[in-house]
Amino acid sequence: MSTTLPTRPDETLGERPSAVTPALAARSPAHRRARAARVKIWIGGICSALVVLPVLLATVLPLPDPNAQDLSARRLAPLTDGHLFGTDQLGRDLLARVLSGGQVSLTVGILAVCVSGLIGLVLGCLAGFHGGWVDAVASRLAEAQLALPLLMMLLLVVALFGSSIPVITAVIAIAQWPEVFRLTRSLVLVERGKPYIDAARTLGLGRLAILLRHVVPNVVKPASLVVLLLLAQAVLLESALSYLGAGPERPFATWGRIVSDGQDYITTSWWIATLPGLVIVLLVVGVNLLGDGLRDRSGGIGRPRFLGLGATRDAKGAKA
Amino acid sequence: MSTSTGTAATPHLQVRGLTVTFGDFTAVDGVDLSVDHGGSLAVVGGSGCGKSTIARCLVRLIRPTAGSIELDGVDVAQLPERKLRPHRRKIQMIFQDPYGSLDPHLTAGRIVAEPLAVRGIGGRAERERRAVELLDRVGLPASAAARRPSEFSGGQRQRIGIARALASDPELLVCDEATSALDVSVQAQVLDLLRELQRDTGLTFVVIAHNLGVVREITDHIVVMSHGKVVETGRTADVLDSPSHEVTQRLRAAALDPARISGRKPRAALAGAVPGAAR
Amino acid sequence: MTPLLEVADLQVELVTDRGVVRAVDGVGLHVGAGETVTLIGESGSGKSTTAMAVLGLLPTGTAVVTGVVRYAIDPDATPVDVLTTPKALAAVRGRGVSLIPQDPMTALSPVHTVGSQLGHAIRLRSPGLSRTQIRDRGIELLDQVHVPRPEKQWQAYPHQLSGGMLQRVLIAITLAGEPRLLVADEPTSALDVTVQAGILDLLLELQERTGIGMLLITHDLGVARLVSDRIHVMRSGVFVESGEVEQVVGNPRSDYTRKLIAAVPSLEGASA
Repeated sequence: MSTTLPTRPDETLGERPSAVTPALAARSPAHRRARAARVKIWIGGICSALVVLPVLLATVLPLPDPNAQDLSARRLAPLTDGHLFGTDQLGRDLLARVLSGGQVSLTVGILAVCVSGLIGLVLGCLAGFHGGWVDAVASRLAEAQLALPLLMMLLLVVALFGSSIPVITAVIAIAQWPEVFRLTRSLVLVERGKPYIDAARTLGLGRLAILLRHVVPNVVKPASLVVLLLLAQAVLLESALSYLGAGPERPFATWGRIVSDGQDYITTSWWIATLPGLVIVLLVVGVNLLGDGLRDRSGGIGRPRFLGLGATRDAKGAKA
Repeated sequence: MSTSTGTAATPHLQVRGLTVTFGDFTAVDGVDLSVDHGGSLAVVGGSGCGKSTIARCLVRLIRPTAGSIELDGVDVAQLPERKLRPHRRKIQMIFQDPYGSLDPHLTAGRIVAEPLAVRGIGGRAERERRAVELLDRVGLPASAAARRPSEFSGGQRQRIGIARALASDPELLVCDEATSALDVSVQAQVLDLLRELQRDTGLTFVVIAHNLGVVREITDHIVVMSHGKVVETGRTADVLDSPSHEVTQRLRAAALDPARISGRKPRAALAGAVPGAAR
Repeated sequence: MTPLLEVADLQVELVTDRGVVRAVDGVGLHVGAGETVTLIGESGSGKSTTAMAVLGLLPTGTAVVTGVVRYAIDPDATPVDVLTTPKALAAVRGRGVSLIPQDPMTALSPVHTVGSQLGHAIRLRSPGLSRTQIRDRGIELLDQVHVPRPEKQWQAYPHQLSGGMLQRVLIAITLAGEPRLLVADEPTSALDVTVQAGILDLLLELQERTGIGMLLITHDLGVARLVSDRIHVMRSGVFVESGEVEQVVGNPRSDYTRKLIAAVPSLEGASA
């Protein structure tokens, strides 16, 4: 029973035929996951671009003034007289209104997400890294916010401070920062426990330097993907506020207000409320898919790792 | 060697009465250690004996509950962070986990250059040049400087960790199970590197390990621990050849050296290692 | 006599994000009753993947396994190849073949007592037993693996036991299935050195008493030397050297084996 087998060269994909057929490879979880991520990114990107690009180009596109009324052409159906989306109850071109409303909605959404992302990231890093009373205060604040009936609180703030764009932005940012905060905090807690942080301490780096140079760069990427998902939520919130009459003041057209104005005519002129609604759906679905796909592709947070992949990583290392 | 400096010289590292408690649990209980300049001391014991806690105290990742840690006569055990900073450079650690001990988003060059920046050495270009030199010192090519930790194997990562420690220009290196996560052939290469450093640089070493073979290769003195206390000390060769304490004897018997085992499935080879093996 | 397990031409390919990796490239081995066959190799050599493929535990879809894995658990029945008849795996696993996992700390459910988990394994094997019979049998098994005061440990939760004790409990659970073949994947590498000796002693004792066959996976040459009859040295998915343990360790033929043996830090004074 003592036979010495011939030593084979390291190129293991040599003489033996591979049993992996293209069909088997296509069905493997690794390929399926990669394909799903690719599809999500493509569909999400196209949906988002369909909304965002026209909104960005609204001022250069040959469109009528969104606020120009023409009472002789009220509630025209879509695709009549050169009105792609039709006209509203005051004869204004609906497409122009949706696009200019989109400018307001997107601006508010992006600003709000930037502010909430920044607040969440900074507080999350401080709370996770410093711990102690900083963590206690920030976490209680986040919990308090989560405990309040959100929409009621936002309406109250708008009622008190008026409905200018800065106020709406601030209100949405307040609504969203705990999401970013909690994620960042948990990511920082994980990073803080890793030996490379200990190594940085033994080198004599100060706490702030460790936080900025080692912790933040390692949590920014996963945290920023969540911020993208929040963008859709911010646009929805803004629309909800506008719909309830607490959005940016007139004459700004916003998506929520167009829907709210149009609902009176839903039985006779369905497009006034429905088309802006569909635009909102398109953007929200698109941004969510995009964010989801990007997260899947970047290795994701908490994606299960399994035996096979670990083994191959080691195999590569052992040969090097 | 450590004994040649004579009795009058101050030891490089002198630990007295080191005690660490976590709540009710005493992890380290009145431990005394001493290493001379250029010497190497092993701290061995089973898991949970407190040896890693000692390592973390020496580099002051933990502030000990009581006791003194004197580096060339200066007690650093209770120094606040700000006063400790000038001393941190002198005592560096090689960590156990080759995967977690390097910041994943930095390149190897930046990782090794960081201690130079902390010491305020040179401009950016100068530091990069010295980082490449240090990588070369631990046996990595210059091209390694531009790569990230995930592109290296476990052994190569440990080399980067060693280069980072050397960049601080330390006087004492603490190796906390520095090779236990590595494959045996890679471990042998890293041990060669550590031995080479001992010979060429005159660094003082404190080696935390459970593998007696590793300890035998790179240390001259040994401290055996059990339940937070020191149970036996002496020259490494003497202690391993004729262990006197029961804990050391059991550790010695449990270390399975393939060269010493003979016969077919010899249960007897385990006799000294299994408590109550009389059955 | 037919071996309990016979593996021939085993090939495992893993389909990953970066393409197909051949983890195991045509290996063959056999394990008879009372024998210990050891796969030794460094990380990434494919030794664990081989064991998992033998047990049919690789994730389907990701791993493509070909070759022959033939079990002859019941000496009277004809041997069955589990790669061509995957349904036979269920009958083989648990009753004929058991796995001792690598990390005892995570292999038990933290919210169930030792007794309930061991009891469950006993009930699977002998469904007719009453509660007290199961308890008696379980305590007997714990006693066999030298768990001190088994009556008390029966009530304990996994976190109340040390790593070595948990590994003993896990061995007791595998014994509940009255297996004829044990697959032990690095059974002691998560444990302390002094505890490792006790577990190895237990495995040797079990084999002496019950004549169980064992397929052991390890990276530790000392462990392999102590408990094996035959060794396969594995590297990059192939067996570099195979043979009787004394011959492989004492008189290695391949350069790789020689390098591996030379790399073990010696306790003797010669190299210090």
